[in-house]
Amino acid sequence: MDELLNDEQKQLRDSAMRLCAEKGGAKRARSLRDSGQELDRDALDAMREAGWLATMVPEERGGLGLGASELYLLLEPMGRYAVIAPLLESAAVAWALARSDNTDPALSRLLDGKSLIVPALQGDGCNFRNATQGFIGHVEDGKLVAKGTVPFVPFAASADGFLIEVATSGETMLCVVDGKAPGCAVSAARNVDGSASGSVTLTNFSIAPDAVVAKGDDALDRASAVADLLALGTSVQLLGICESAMTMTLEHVRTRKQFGHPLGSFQALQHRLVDNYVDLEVNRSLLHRICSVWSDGGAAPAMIAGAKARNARVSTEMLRTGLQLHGAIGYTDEHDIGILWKHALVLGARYGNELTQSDRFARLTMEEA
Amino acid sequence: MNWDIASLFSDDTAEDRQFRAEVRDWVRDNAPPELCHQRHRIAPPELKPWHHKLYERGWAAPHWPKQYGGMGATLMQQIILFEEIVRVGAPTPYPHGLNFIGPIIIQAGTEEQKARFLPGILSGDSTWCQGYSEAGAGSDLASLQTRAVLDGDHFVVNGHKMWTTNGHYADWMFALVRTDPEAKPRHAGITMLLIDMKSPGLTVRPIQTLKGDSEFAEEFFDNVRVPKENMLGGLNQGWRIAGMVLGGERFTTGHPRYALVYLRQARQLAKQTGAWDDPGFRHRLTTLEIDLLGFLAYYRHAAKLHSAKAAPVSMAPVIKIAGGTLAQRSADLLMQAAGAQGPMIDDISLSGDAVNVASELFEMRRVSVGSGTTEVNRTIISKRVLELPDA
Repeated sequence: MDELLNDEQKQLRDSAMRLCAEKGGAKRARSLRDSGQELDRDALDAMREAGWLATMVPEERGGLGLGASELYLLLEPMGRYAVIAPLLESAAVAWALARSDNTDPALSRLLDGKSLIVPALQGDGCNFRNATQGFIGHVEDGKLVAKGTVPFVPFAASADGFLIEVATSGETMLCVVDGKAPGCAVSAARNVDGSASGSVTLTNFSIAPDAVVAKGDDALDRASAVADLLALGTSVQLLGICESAMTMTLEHVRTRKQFGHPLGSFQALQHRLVDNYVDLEVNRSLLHRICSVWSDGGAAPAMIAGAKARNARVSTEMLRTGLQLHGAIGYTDEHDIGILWKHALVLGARYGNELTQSDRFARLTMEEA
Repeated sequence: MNWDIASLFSDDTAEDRQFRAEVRDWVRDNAPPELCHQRHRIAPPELKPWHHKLYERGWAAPHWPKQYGGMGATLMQQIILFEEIVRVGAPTPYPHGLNFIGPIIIQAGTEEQKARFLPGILSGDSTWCQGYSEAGAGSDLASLQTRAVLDGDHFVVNGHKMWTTNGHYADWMFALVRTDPEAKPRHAGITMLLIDMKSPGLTVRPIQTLKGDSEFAEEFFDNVRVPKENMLGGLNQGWRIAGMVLGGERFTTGHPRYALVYLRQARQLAKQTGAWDDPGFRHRLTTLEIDLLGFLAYYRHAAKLHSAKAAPVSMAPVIKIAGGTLAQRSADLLMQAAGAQGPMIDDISLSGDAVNVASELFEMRRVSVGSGTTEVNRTIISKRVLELPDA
């Protein structure tokens, strides 16, 4: 079931579908992967020109002034067409920057395409559960100096800057920093879908006062909100991948014949697809709902943890059915179902995989009755 | 997170909130304590005074049009009424009269039939049962064999109906009978009759369920004469008429309340029995709670679309499959939380309350079989939504 969309939202969805169809697709994802590029610059530029990076930036700061529901409409087609680009990461950083007054330079660079800035946060369930990671800072000669490592930051190798959280003895700072400045090193590792993530390491890294976006509780709240938005948006992309896998699989079983009948006429296979379909319907409602209440703070972190866990689980199941019903061709690199699977594996693991987020959900709801 | 059924993902408008508060107060003051939180099934005679109270308050049939004594309520108001009644553990009136045959009579009945039958359905004075299933016609309902032959002013009915909820309490049955054995397709030869359960030649035998009570019955028809004016809709129109049940019905039978209650009880019980210390138990609880979170969102989303007359054909089967599976798995987990106490016949006390784990588990068998098995619903999605080919 789709949400009841207003005219503006329908237009946004339609243009997102068009743009992603044009700038995406499994063939393009495969050739990007084979040429060793971790992201699709051309697709990202097109999205930026369409104003998408500024979806959740208020109009007075040069944005579209929309909410997470609209971001959903952009991210779902990205998943569907396997577009590998940091739209979500950029939009989340833009949202966080736009909530401070002193961020005009960084926000402009991001929205103008001069800098790619991605989050490098060590949030709860965000990256890796090993608690020894993260950035810590101290004040030296009146200046904030940071050190530490945040691993598994998507698109880190291509980024010009990072949104980071720095824990100091007094309070936590949310900062936007130049990734090319001395003391910042990135080591990247490729993923199976062609994307990459990297470890961001700061050594004796100086942070100028005007790079501090927020402090104290404000910084903690905003970093958590960004982490939530990343998990939520990644879940939406996973749903898009699943929609695509479902369509591809349905087309295959309608036409492929064995024993003289289309595969799709066998009830054992029909019912498996129906169970996947039911799971996708439930996920779509859940994501619609969380997105619609996210902007006014009505989406509890537990809901988002639950949504990420469930979308990751369902994507595993949907793709398992999809691959299985394609038979041997599903095990080839030539067929697109495998491209979708690999992309789903990466997004499923990103920002807290099924078990990480499910454990987080349990912790967040533990104290209840 | 607040797992309260009435607030998580609720779409209450200011008006709805006011209605909810009004219902909550009234239900608190009027729900009969002897019927609340009962482990046994409340049979129709026991339920009658409560049904009558709701009727007097004007809340027995919220979904009926005002001209027939209903509230002309929105779907959300119907859901609110239902939620506030189940919140205090009170039973809701049986649906066979109010939700199944009532709306069909309103849509397809003659003025005479409306005047004769609707008041008793509304007040609860007459108890109704649904005579659809037969020994050989369950999921394949169109294969039903109970035969009705027109003889002057009467139909003469012969055959056997089965799995009839409240058959042994009912004053009336709305039955699907075969009036044309040659019809192709088979469902074109079926007529709906309203049958007086006191008719000569009609024998009723209760059937005991796994739960131990007699929820349903079977009926033997031996030359039972049914006046022609008790035919609802036209001759051989029964299949179409039966399809007139309001879609809103899914929102009470498919409500996530069972899973909500079982998972909350499973948490409490697990802490009591020590199952809580088992990471395997907690992981399963978490998985089901996440499924419940999703289903709650789906349910509210569906209600919103249904109200806007934009609900897709997949809605009712999805509620059935997702909701039914979730309720059963939640009852399974409650059994796990109970450990060796689970299969005991006696209630288990639970922080001032009591739960009968096995009885709940038995009860949940119904949700994946009654009014269309989950398998039949899977086939509906497979054909009508996924458009997969026939064998």
